[in-house]
Amino acid sequence: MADETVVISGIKETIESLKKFDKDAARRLNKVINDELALAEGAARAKIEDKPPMSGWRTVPAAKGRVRGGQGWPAWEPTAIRQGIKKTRVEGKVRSDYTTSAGALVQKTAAGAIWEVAGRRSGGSGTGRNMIGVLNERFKGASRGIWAVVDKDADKIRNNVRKAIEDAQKLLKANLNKEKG
Amino acid sequence: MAAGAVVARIITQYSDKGSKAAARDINKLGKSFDKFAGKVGKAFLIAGAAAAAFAVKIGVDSVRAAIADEKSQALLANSLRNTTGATDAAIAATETYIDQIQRTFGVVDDELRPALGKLASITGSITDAQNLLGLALNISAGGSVDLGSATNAVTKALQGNYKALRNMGVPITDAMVKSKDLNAVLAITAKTFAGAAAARANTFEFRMTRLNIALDEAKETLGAALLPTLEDLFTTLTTKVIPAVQKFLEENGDKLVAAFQAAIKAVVGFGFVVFKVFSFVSKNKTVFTALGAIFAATFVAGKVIAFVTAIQGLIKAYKAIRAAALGAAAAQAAATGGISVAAAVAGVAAFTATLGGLYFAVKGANNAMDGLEQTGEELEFSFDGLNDKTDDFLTNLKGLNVDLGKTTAKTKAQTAADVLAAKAKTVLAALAKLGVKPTTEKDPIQLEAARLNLLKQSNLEEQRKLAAIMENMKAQLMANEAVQRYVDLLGVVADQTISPEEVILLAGKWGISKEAVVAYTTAIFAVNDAKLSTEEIDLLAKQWGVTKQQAEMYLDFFKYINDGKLDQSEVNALMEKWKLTSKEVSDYAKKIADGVTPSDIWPTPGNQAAKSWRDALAALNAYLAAVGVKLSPTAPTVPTAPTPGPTPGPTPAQITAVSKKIESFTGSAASAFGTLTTEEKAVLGGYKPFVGAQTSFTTPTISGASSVGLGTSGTGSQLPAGVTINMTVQGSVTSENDLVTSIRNGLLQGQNNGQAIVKSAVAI
Repeated sequence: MADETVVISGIKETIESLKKFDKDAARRLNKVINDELALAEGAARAKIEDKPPMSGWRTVPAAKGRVRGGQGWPAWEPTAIRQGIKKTRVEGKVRSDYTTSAGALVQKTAAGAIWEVAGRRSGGSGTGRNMIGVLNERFKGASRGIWAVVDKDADKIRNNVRKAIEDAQKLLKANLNKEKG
Repeated sequence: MAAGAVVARIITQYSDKGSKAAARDINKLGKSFDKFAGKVGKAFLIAGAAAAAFAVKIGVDSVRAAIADEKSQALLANSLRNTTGATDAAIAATETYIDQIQRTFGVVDDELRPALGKLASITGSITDAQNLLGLALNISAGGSVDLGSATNAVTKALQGNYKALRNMGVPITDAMVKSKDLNAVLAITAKTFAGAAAARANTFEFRMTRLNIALDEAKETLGAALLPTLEDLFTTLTTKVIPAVQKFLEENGDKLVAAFQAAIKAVVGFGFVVFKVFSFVSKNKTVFTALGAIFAATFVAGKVIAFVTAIQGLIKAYKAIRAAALGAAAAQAAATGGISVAAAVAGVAAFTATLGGLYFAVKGANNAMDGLEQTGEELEFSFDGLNDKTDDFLTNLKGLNVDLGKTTAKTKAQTAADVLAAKAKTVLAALAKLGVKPTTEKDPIQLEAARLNLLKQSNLEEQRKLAAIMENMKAQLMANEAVQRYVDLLGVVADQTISPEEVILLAGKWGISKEAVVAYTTAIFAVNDAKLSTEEIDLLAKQWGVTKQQAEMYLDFFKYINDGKLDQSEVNALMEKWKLTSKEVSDYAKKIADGVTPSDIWPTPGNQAAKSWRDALAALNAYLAAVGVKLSPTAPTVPTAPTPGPTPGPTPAQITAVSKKIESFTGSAASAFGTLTTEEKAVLGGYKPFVGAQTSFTTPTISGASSVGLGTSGTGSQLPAGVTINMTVQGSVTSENDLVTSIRNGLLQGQNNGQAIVKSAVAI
């Protein structure tokens, strides 16, 4: 999980402006962004294996209790987990650094989230420690799904998006100049 | 987005929402900063003010303590020097001793020093005083009295009074009191209160006192360090501020006068208008009252310059102090309890602010008045002429040069004040020519008044001089009169008696009563019988205007020197009687023998007589020339200067005898002269009748009685012992009576040596 934040400026404004002068261009720009996110989404889904990460992880919902294998512990359902990974362009809430998201991947299922981030903040305790240890042994450290894709492909995606925005901005300028005559 | 979902951002952008939130946060942060800064600032201000106040408090206390301590030390040192002859080293050691005592026993040095000084003055020894001070400290602690009372008890005991000690519980027996056994008393006192001071010093109260003493000593040390700074301040004030103020006033005096004169003219109307229009007085009641008081005082006293000087002095002092000695001013304020420079600075600042406020108030009021004057809204006051006055005031106020560093060409030019000063110098120079020491007065009117007064005094001096001359003349006339009276008396007493008829005759001639004649005659001849009664001496003293003792002394001396000499036995007698030294006797006798020293300017009997003889000779020569008779008269022989010492002339008896013999002469003068004995010829002095061709001439008229003075000529400054009358007559006199008269007068002149009778000779 990358710590730094790379901000691409002008995405929203460019798209809004393109919608006024050249809707096709806006559409193309959106498509570039969506395609890049879709690629990332596919890569993240590909990381979800059918076999549970741990042998005791139930594949069906537990009958009772909130223990692993019990009722309440999310079952490892590979299809649902894969479907739970989605690309999104929702801005979401403003962070403390006054930025919002222009494109992201979301893991919506609980089992997928546990598999994604288990052992991220601490080594755990008790049986959790064993689980984290096994997960780390099998899938390396935390950020095992969507974050692994983002860490791997984010620069490529951003560059592609930035390039598309620059092209769109050039086009927008040309349109503006054309408007001025 | 589902709760608990993991979101992995790929593309990030800035958000409007984020910008607005950021702006809000920034604003909020700014406000927070402002609030924080304000609070911090206030906190710092409060802390700073508190620290400053505390520092000032510390400074005030320190300097006060240092000054008081220095004074206390000086008093003790002076007392020790005077009473014990203590050296500087001993005094320093005593101060150390006192410091140790106060820290050990918790008694402040301001109490210890007077006690020690008192004990030292009683005992005359610093060592004894220190021992007794220890005893007094024990008494103070054990008897629960202050150190002063304990010291008094000890000093009284030293003087033999043990009552105070007994009252404090010292078991002094009656035997001790009766025997005045001081050592025993002190011993039992020491035993009674032994260790009391030390025990008291260890109590909590006195431990705190000792702590306070230590703090106070630290303050005094701090104050002592501040004192040089104060001295620097005083030096600055004396050498820089005050001269600068004087220079400023000299250069700006005319401007200030003009400005404030205009202000004073306008102030009454101005104040009224301001009151009516802007309620200025109500808003600035204190300020206006203060200014009004100043202006009113100025009007009453008429001292415009003094007012201006005071104002400018304040401004100048403020500027100078602020620029040069603000820090020192704080120290000065501390040293003086904060009422001198600090108060002055505050006062000047307030006044300056007031003045500035007044300026703007005046300006605003003036503008508003212009408008109101045009509309005439509800104003009862007449503005006629007021605007001009206030304009003048503003103009002049603006023109004030309060910058000490500037000396404009205008101020260098001769001002009205310079003109007044020049006039004053002129008057002073005129007065200096009159010998008058110039004063510091500069007002020409006052100087002129002073000059006139001095002229008047000069006239008075002339009057006094004239009165003195008149007194002198009067004295001379009285002397002449006395001589004439004596001459007359000699005439009437030729028969050794004065008949009632002769008294009446003298009274008529002298213009006095018969009784006065008798008194005068008695006084004159009182000395002739060599027996002076008390009444006679009283009479003479009264007559001469001296004391009885002076008269008696004079007569004693005269009696002894009347024989023409003063032998050793006579000197001894005079020395013994009048308790004089030999030299004093000699000097006094010489003074009597020499008589007075008459003025060369004013007529004296001697001068008059000499003049009379010269006139007579001139008249004779003129007469002879007129009648064609060739005479070769020789000039009267000028008597030689008499030698010092008593040289009395012939006695009245001798004169009378010779006179009678001459009256009985018949025949020629030469033959008659030849019948006289040597002694009788001596009575006549150097007189020799002229023997030559017979001719006829009228005896030259001898001037009247007033011209008959002491027979002398020449300088007249010294009276001869006798008179040499040289009458050279060619031929014979017309009648014998003429000759007799001439000789008689000559004899009388010879007798009138003036030394025995002249009043001035008595006035020693």
